[in-house]
Amino acid sequence: MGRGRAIGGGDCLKMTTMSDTNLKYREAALAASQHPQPDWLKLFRSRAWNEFEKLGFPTTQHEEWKYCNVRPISEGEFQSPLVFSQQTNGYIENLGDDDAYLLAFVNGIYDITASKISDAPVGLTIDSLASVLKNIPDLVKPHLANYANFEGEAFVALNTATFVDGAVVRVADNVVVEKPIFLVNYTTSGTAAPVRNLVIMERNSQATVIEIFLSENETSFSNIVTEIVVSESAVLNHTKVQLEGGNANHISTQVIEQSKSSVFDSQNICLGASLARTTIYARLGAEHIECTIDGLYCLNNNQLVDNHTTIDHAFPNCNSFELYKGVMDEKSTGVFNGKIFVRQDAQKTDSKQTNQNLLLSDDATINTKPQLEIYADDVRCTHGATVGRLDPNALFYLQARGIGAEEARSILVHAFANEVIQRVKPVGLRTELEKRLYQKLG
Amino acid sequence: MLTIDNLQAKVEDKQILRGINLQINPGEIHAIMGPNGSGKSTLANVLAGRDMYEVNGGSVEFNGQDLLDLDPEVRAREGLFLAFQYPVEIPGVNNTYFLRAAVNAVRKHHGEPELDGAQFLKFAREKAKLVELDPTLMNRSVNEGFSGGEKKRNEIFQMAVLNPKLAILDETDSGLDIDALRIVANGVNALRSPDRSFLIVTHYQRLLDYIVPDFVHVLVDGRIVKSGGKELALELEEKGYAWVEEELLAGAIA
Ligand SMILES: Nc1ncnc2c1ncn2[C@@H]1O[C@H](COP(=O)(O)OP(=O)(O)OP(=O)(O)O)[C@@H](O)[C@H]1O
Ligand SMILES: [Mg+2]
Repeated sequence: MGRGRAIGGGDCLKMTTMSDTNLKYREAALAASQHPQPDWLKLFRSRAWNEFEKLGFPTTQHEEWKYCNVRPISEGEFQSPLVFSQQTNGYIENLGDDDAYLLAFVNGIYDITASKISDAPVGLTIDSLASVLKNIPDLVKPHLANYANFEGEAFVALNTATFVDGAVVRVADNVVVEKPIFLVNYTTSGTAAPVRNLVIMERNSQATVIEIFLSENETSFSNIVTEIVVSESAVLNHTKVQLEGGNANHISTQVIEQSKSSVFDSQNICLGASLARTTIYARLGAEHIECTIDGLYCLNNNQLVDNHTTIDHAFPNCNSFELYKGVMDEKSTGVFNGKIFVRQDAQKTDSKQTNQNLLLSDDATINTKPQLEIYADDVRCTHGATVGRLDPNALFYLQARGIGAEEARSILVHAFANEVIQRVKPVGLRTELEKRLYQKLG
Repeated sequence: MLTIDNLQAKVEDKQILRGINLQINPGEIHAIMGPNGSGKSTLANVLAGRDMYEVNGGSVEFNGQDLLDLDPEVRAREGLFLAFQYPVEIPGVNNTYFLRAAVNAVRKHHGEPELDGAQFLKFAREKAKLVELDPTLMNRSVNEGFSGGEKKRNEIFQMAVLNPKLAILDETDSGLDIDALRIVANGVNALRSPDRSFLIVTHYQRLLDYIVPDFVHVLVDGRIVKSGGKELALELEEKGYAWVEEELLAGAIA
């Protein structure tokens, strides 16, 4: 900080701000390290903090952040969520399925009154991470911070250093959880909220986990890391729904570690926030794995939504499918960067990646970059990206049958987006998402 | 019903309609024939309100209203229907959902209560029978993956459901096998009534064997150059369009 001041000029101001920001996060990291937790985690956290300090927030000079300017975060003024705000009671709107387990978090801190977990069956652990770390840390020790690598990853490092709480979902061997498990996160205005989630699917288990992100309307910053372990022959349906307020900043990192014959089937639905970046990394670490990573982003205003996905085929005989669809209206910007790695040993890989985009205005932008890196020779891999506008012939066809221009447009946009929504498993949530889509796109 | 007066239209600086005059009274069936590229589909699309075509002269009156002044959806709600020469495929839009939205838009326009899903389905199923439309097509996306004939039948099905005052059929007969042709024609004939009119664009006399027109017009190079009764279609079939053009030329010289 001192050095910054000595230089003088505009740069000085910027550096000072930066350091002040860091100072605030340092306090948050310090506070986080004082919660009850095992020593191994404390060690991780201090290393993570050092890494964050070394890296600072990424800039657009960074290849992976080229189109994702995080200045609203790096220069934003956010408070740490040290105080639990009771005013947020009732924040959980009915997002569909009443018959579900629910873990609620406000600013990344467990809200027991809003949660519904009392009837969880034997073999299903759903709990707050803070409580697990305090009472049964060995449950998460093999997994927590084991997959989401913070080296070179500023936001993962920051999350690892500063998180206080989050969700732990663990489904024991051979247990099939029928009801969906909702993890609902709500961020209040002016807050920087780290959220740390861990989903452990043990052998031959099955479950559906939904992560929902909501926020107040004024600026906020949620920084989420979700680690997901899908053990041998386990099946996990996973949906992430980002519905944060129009001024929110949302950074999320999702890391999936899959074992033999496991199935991971997911949708990443992104409708809210001003700036939203989701990074997904799936490692297919054994044979006969199936991994589906679908996504939908619908943007308007000045929204910037950046989806970076990586599917890493390290072993033979695995399938991966990825369909990402985007609708960009007004002055919004979408980014899709999808990497598929097929490593040398990953023979007989079957991989299909598609990114389709609909631009509804002249001022909307999409940067799409599907990437396929294949080091094996006996594989079937396809990928492709399209960018288009609404088909004027289809629009006229609808109008010629009496349907108004606005409604016709809406029907076509929804038809486009619906393909991904229809893959969401819980019926109530699916209906709710269709409704939200209408609200958003008219 | 419809009065077209000296209608002119162009697309991308290319003049296509060069002064069309046509009067269609309630209950009448008019057939339009003419060589490829003469402007038949252009006329049909201009009447339906396709904005790709620029109207640069003339007027069209439809049941007392200035048709050209209405948005395409309003034209449809007022009872104008176009069966497209090339029906477009719309992936992701369910055929039944789409048609219910259309029917309800029309009903709303006329101050009638909207039909709910069950009511509409019952109504639509009856109409599907009329044109012998495979009911599974109703649950598919609009025209997506339909065969050529299925698309045309779907157009006639939509016509039957929407119950228009003036139906324009643009080559609905092309691509149909003999059976389908008869079914489509039966569909049209079933809708024939003293207050409903048809404008049928076709290249073939065979459709007109089933749907007997009151008038036949020949469109050449953006103008109606000859009109007559149903026997004109037979004559055209026999002698070809060259005959009309020669006659025209002779007339011009004389
Ligand atoms: N969108 C367009 N852009 C350019 N030219 C067009 C367009 N639409 C029509 N035309 C031209 O206008 C002329 C008339 O076309 P139209 O489709 O009306 O003919 P038609 O009489 O229906 O022919 P057919 O019997 O082959 O269906 C043709 O020369 C065609 O190429
Ligand atoms: Mg034509």
